[in-house]
Amino acid sequence: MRAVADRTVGFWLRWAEGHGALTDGAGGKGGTGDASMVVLPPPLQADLDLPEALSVTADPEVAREDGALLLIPGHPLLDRAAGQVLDDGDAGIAHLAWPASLPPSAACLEAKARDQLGVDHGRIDVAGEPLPAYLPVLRLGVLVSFAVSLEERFQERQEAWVDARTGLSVGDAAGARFASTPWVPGPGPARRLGPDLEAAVRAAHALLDARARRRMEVVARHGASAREAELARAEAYYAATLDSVTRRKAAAAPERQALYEEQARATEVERDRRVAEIHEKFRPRHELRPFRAHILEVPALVLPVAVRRGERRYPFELTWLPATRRFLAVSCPACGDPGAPLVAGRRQLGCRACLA
Amino acid sequence: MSTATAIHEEAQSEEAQSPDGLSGAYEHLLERLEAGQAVNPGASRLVDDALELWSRPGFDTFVSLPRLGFEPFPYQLAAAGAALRHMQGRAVLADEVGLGKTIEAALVASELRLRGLAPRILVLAPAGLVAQWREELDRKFALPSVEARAGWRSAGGPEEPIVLASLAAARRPPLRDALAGLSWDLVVVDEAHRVSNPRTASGRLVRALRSRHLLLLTATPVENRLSDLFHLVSLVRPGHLGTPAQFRACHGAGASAEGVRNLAGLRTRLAQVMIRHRRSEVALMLPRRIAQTRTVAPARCEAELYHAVSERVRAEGRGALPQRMLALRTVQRLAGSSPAALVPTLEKLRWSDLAAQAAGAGAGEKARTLVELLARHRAAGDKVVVFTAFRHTLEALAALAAEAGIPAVAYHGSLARRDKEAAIAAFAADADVLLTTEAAGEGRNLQFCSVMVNFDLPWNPMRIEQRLGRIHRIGQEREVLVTNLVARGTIEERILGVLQAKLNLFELVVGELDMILGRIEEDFDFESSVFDAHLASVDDADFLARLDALGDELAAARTVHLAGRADTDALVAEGGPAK
Repeated sequence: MRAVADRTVGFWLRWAEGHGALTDGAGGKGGTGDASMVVLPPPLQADLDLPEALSVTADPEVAREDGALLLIPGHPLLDRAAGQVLDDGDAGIAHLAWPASLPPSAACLEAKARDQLGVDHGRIDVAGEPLPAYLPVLRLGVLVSFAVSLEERFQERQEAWVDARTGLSVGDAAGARFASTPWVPGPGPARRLGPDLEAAVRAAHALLDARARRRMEVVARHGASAREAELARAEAYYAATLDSVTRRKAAAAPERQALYEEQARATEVERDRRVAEIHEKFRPRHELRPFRAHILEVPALVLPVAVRRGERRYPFELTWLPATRRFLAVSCPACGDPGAPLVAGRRQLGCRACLA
Repeated sequence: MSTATAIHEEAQSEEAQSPDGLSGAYEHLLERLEAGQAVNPGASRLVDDALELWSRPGFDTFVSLPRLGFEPFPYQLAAAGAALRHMQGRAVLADEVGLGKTIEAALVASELRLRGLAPRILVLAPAGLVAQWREELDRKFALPSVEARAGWRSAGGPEEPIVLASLAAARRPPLRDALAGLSWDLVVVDEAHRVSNPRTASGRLVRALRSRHLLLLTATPVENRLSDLFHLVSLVRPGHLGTPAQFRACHGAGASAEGVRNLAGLRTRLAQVMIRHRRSEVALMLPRRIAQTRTVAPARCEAELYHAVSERVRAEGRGALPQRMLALRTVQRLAGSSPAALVPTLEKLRWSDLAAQAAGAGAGEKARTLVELLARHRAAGDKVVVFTAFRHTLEALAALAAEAGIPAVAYHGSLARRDKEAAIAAFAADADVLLTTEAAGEGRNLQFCSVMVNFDLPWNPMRIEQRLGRIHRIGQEREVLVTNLVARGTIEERILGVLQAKLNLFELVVGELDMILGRIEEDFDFESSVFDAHLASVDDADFLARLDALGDELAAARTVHLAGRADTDALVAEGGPAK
């Protein structure tokens, strides 16, 4: 509990430091102090409606005895700071370190290319030496908020990793490998493969949104059964009430008939309103909130190849990623369809659809 | 925040493919990428921490778990999860006594709170349990709370602590009106069988409250009639069991579970709103508790002092004003503790003759017996917690232990937090004895000790139960030995006799006592009843007869409690909630 509490206070202190506050550093370093002192600059004092100097803690007992401000999750100051940090987001470019091992030879890469990326009616031949390059990979992080019903809402953190040149996914496993690779301060002597940032962001967003929709379908099933149960219950209740009104009306004196008719109409109106409320309550929604966009310059080897069919040669480039020891998936050079198996035709290289 | 999001409703399936949806949400991130700005690792870490604080996973994940000061049992998490997911935060938590309904409800409260879904939470509990709630919320859940009494007003705002109120205070104006005038996000009613009847003041109060989520906690949702169950379920989910007439037509209106029609159908319905775990189901067994009483013959001067004080109290008490009555009751209880504890209060009351008598009475036979007992336990390698209700007694006992060369630490409510922690640490490490007042030990882990001595006996049996709960709780692995020291001829000796004979107090499961006392009458106060009997009686025999009658009431309440438990077991199917 203490570690988490320290992290909570530590977050707020670091946020405050970023806005010009001075702190004793205990919270930020996960220290064991009971409370951390913080001195706020005038704009922050005014903005947060706090005094110039205060002590903060995540321990209710310390707050009670020492008069420190109790900062626990759910506190508006924390929510506000967290909301602001997420609104600002985290964007930038980083360079991954080259692996220490020697790069594979052209012959070795040729064998791997033939094994991993087979081409129907064709053979992949190396057409030159592999060249070091930086592959731009977009890491896009979003917070997905799901609302299955008014009561059931939750959020999930999702990430997509795409080749920023093509928008093709590099896969979560490769992303995890990149995330654990150390960064270096700047690029090494290697060619930089140019990204198409906007297209990459769109592609990553589409991937994440599709993933969220699939997730929504699963969770909405539970909401649907709860909705049906609640609708059935409400309808049974109002049916019984209307039945009772009808029976009482049948036995009532003529001067009371209008009264019962009015009561039945009011019940029907109430029923319709209640049914509409239930439908509204269970209306599923989801929302994507981006919080991170990194371009990771990933060490790669660009391998010039030619796909041969008889005497015909189709020049091509493959990208080898030392970090994953795999080639990037290729898209059809004719139509751009990602991941479609390639076919060496008589007149062109393409996917089956292009050659049909 | 809303400007940087892309919202999708299921009906608008085209929106995901629309690149236009990106502009607002991603623009500022794209700008920084296009500017070639390097990633700032400090900012990345800040964003990760912000996500931790901000994100709210599904209710199958407990965001509050890492913050808890303890580890809940899987069945408690399952109950809280079911109440949140399947019952939409409106449920009857009906676990057997002692399985932790408070924990389950507080888990729900904590989850809703951390997710920003319940800034305004009210807990209603019997007066005797309010302090316990406060302690649990504070120590186990790190949730601040405030007790609402007459004159309370909501502070408002998102930082409002959880509001605790005793049912007795909450059902009377002006607090009743203040509570009913607000819109609550979550209301928790502990011992909710007390609110099932819509005609009682407590029942009317709960029906007057407006709340999105509602948790009713009771081990016996069926008290007297099947309609109790109907009323409770209708509170959490109106219409779930139909109209009263439909319910009677479908299931009957019996006085107990016997003869319920369509029991299977009723069980299915109940499982959708009610969760009940039993000991047999969760295999939660505590080690045995052994209680023994050491009746000590007081020295002649002690007996004379006790008699003189009792007579003076009895004489002054008849017709005394409430404030004076409280002082007299305290003096009578002090007389049962130690002569040392009596002196300052007798002086304050200007009973100087008795004060002088008390000052000359020495430490008392009970204290000498305690020192012998502690020495024996020390020789056997046992650590002992000694409870007394009074600071002056505590200090006198500490001096005696020091004289006898017994390493003891004193713990009381006036110690600063660090000193309290130091005292518990010293007890855990080197000291053989912890001398402590009632308030002490709250929330402290004392399960490494399995011997407890009640140097004096609280008149309120709930206090006795709270003392027991300090060491006889989950985590205790050894048999617990409780020794009650009472001086012959004292009120404490008689109280102990009644509680043992009529209630079998020391073998009740912790939590059960309140349910029994609550059945006598809504505001039943055992301590006041004892004192009233003392004042009203003409002699000891009369007092004994009055106490015996009180004991009979307790025994009858216990019988009703056991019958209610059996009815509940018959009606509520074992296991978790229906999905």
